[in-house]
Amino acid sequence: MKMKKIIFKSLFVIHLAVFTQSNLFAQNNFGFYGGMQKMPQSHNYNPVFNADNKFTFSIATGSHSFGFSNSGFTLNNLLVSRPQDDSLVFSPSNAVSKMAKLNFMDFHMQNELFNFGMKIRKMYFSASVVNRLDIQFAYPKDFFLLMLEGNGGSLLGQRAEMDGLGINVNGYMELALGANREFGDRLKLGGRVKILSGIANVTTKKSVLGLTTDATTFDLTLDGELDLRTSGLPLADGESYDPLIALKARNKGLAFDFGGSYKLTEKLLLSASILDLGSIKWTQNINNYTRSSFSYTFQGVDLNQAINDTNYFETITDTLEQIFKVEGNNESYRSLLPTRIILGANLNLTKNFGVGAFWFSEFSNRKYRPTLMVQGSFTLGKWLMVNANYHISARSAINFGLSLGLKGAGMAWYISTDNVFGFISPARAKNFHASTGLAFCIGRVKDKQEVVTE
Amino acid sequence: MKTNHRILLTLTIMIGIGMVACKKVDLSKISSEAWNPSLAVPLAIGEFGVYDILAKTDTSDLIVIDGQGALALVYHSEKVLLNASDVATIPDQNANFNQSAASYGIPPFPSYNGTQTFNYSDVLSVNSSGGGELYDVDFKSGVMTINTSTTMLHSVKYVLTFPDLTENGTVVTRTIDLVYSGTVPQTGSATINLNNGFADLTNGPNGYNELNVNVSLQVTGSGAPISGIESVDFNVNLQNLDFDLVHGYFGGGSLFNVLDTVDIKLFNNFTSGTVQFTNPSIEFKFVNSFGLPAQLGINSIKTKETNSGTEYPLTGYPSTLPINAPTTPGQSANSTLTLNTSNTSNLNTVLTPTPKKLIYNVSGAANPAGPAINFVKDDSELRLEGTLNLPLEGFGSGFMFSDTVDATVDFDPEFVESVLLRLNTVNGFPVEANVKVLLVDQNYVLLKDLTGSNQQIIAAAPVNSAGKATTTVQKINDYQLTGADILALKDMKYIIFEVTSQTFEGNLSTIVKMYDDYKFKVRVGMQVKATVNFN
Repeated sequence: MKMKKIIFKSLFVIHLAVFTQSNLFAQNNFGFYGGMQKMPQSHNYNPVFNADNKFTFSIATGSHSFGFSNSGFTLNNLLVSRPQDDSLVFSPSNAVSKMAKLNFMDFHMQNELFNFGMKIRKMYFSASVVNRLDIQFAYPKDFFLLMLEGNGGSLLGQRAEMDGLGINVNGYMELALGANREFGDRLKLGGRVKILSGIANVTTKKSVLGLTTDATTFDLTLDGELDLRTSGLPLADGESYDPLIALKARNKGLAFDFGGSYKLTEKLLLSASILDLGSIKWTQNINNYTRSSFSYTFQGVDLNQAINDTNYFETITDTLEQIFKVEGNNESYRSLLPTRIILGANLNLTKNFGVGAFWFSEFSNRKYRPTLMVQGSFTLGKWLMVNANYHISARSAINFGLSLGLKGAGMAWYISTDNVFGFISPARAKNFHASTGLAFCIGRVKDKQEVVTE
Repeated sequence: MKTNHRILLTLTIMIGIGMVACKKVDLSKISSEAWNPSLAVPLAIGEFGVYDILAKTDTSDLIVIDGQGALALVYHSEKVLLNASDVATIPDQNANFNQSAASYGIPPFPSYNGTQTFNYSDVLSVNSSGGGELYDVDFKSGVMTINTSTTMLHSVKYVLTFPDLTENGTVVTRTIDLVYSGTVPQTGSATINLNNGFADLTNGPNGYNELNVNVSLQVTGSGAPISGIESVDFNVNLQNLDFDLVHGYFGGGSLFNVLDTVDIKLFNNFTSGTVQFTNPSIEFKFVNSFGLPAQLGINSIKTKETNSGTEYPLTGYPSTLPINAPTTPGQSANSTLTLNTSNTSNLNTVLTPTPKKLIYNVSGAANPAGPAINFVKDDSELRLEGTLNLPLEGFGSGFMFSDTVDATVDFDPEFVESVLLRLNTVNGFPVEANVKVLLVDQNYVLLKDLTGSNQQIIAAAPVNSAGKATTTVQKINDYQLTGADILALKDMKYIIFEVTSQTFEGNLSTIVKMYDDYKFKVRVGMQVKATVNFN
């Protein structure tokens, strides 16, 4: 027992040393949907999940996650083995061939600065402060195809569709107050209210860009439209930027989490949650850039005009300047949070083993990104939780997650990744994710079986 | 418990396989594939109508459109055959009237006192330089100077009157008073500004070229004798005479003989070729503001193919034309002779071998009907306007044109794998063109025959039975330059264009007509394939 305490205290120190000194990224933490639902941090993923303790809290150590995903290609797609020897060939063409029409490169970071949870009879109350940052770069396949092949290759006679090219950044502080309640032995409902304070935002509200090359005449038609909104970023030319603006941010927002679970049988638990349903109104340090819809076709030097108009080439230059002229404004705007809907089912095969299947749906910038996961979990007593999962997401079918949770000596520590191949074989992985957290747990709520046994 | 063990074992095996199967990337062994972008760009676009094309060669000539839009080329030449000074000029002239006192009817006196007046009349000849007969002259400028001189030993007053010379409507009279002071000869002078003067030269004995002058001589005696042989002279000097209008008869001789040329620039750039116009015509128009009728004689009309120097004479044309004269000064009369296929024998033929020049020699004789009253105004002229009218209707073939332009390649061919030039023409003209494009070095050694056998870059639009093009014809030609070609082009110095052209089925004598709504569109595009090796 003493050894157990030493181990946990050591983990706590290491955790503080590492994760309070750096900003880490957060992702879905699929492990919390399996055998680790009894960890305090699971509450962040479904308001009805909570630790089987009467009181939990953490300061700065609760949960830190970071993640990176790239739906377009892996490092292995970019670096291809040459058959005749063992050297690698930098092959952008192969990487481009693996891309979808529109691809996403995502960075996620989540730092829980404070967490508090308390079980009172059938209810559970929670509060937390979390710093969150999501960065998404959307890149169309044709953008790279155009750079790689030029417009005279496979794009000849077609529109190089670079629609959607853009970046979205969302950085904000979240104060969440939550509660859940058991209704009988089977149903449990919960929710959280989140008061948001926006720090920085970039929203590519509309991005249309296309280059069409006529197959016969080689005429070039450029079309596009842009609506880019920013807040809290030093994007405007010559504008002084105060890095401390983040601390003074007054961009207000509100969001909600809703969750529920239903124990269909003693072994089968159905659950659902809606996370981050809300928005932030950005009012500070606004720099928006818009370009209304345009289409311009260049057919070559107009010989008639070039002969008769000595200022013809100046006219072309003026025309191009007008086409690419971007208007700016400082109007406030509202951005929606990426909302997730999670549906799941857990089946306890034995006392120690369980399996589950989950459907994750993320709605971000009017785009739908699904993830399908199956998982298996192993629990040993009340102190060891192991979860392994497999999921398909970001056009990648090779994602194996692994989570480990330890509880004891008044503490709960976990470490988790949604894709273990991100560590083992980063060259093949489209997703990379890691998270860890340490919370204090006081008192234990006995489950019904224990009560009956007693 | 057995189930637990099985599940644990299965998970362990799966994770183990996954870890072993993962191949790590050795970043120290990375090479790069070549970058082969292909860029397609439009280079130029143009749409040209008849005016755009013909204006390049015929900037000074006219394109005429009839009511149906049919086009004709009009080559024009204008030449002033005569102006006023060629027909009538009144030169500076001088006339002396040297008489004695007896000529004035002054009798001898041993001692003459008192005052008596004696009269004398004579005729002043006013001649023109061309020998014509002058009837009257309306002067624009000129000066008449009268000088008097006498050896009489008395005071003498000359009063000279020109009854047929008026100055602003008043008969010109000048008095020169010589007061005897003891020395002789006594001299004096007077001037008459002929600006706005009018002279009637018909009242002399000849009825032309003569101006009457009357002298009244008043002699006031000094007591000295008069012998009768004393001189009583006067002199009339006419200088800088210029007229507004002169009437007269200017003879019946040759008025002009002129050789003139009309450049037919349409064919300037062609080295060979034949064309047959359906309805050409040559017009000689005389614009005459002389009151002088004349007779035109056409001595020769021919075309000349300047490259070979071959001349093609026109025959069968009417050889004379009366050149009308206006009846009122300030007006002009036109006389026109039009030569066409009906009143010539071979007009079509002389225009067939892509002529470059039309050469004609014409002459004229004055007053073909005999003596008449002519007039010449100071701005009178006889002008010949020669016009070659070529309605663009007919057929032609074998037009050849060649040109050499300086050209160098200023891009680094190292990265260029190939270049494709695409020429895209949409032709509404019933004319086709084959072009040979030769890329040569400074010694004109062939580096690349760009067009090869693919030379027809412009296809002729087909025509209907009326000769009008019914549709446009598109022609797309691709010209490929390989990497080897591009490397060779580093030495390129010139591009030689050899063009052969003909009208639609010109070799079959199919008649085509040119209309103002024909258009020719050309588009040039380029596709460049590059190769960039990073190793």
